[in-house]
Amino acid sequence: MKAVERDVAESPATPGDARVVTSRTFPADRTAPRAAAAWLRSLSLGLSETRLSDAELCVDELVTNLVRYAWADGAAHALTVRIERSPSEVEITVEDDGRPFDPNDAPVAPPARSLAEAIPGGRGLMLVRSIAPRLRYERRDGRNRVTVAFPLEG
Amino acid sequence: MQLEHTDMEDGVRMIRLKGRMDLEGSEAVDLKLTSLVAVKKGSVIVDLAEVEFLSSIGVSVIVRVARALTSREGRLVLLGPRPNVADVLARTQIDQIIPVCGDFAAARTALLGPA
Repeated sequence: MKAVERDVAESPATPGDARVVTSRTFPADRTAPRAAAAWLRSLSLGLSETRLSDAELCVDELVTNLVRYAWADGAAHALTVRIERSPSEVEITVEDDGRPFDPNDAPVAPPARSLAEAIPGGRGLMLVRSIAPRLRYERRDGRNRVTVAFPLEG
Repeated sequence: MQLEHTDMEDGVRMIRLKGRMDLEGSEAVDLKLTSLVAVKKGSVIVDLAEVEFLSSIGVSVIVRVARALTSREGRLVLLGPRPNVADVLARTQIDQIIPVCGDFAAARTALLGPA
């Protein structure tokens, strides 16, 4: 697959429908986490800086996890980040065609009590779940969809 | 991601990281950082003030170099993280096992004791 980023902007379904949906597809390589985070930041979503930081971290971690573990065939793959903004919240969905994986099922190691017993890895999903305690997960048409929502102010 | 270091008269090595410590950034500095903390009984301050973003991959690199240093009777402290970076250190509870200091004087005291 050629390494391209693709944008899809969908208009509101009906006039007066305040939902706005946009998505972008990224090549699933080492550059994807940074590219996805930069794209998220480039959108005017109306989130507070704290929530935007949280959203950026979630996107980075979910995409990093996919790039590292979702595929084992060595072939080129792509992943899609979809953003849906309603009057009350911003929903971010990360979608891939990798192996079935519900991040809610991933074990989270208890925090280390000392540096000596701290393992270097395994904190990505712990971070996502500490920001978004319940992730919405769907497996449909051979694709994983993980959705996390962030409330807008007001 | 950029990295520079300074060795001070009291033997403390200051390492300044700059940029995004995400997957790409962490891979870019991993080897250099590992070699810079490979000092016996070393005291190292890692200055995070110019780190604009830290992910779990960056946390892994920090934990690994801190462990390596500790196994050689050295110590590592983190200095001046921005609020979003400090938030990641708190959520992962890394700040419970690696000292995180707000200013240089506190970092030196954490390493060497009161002046």
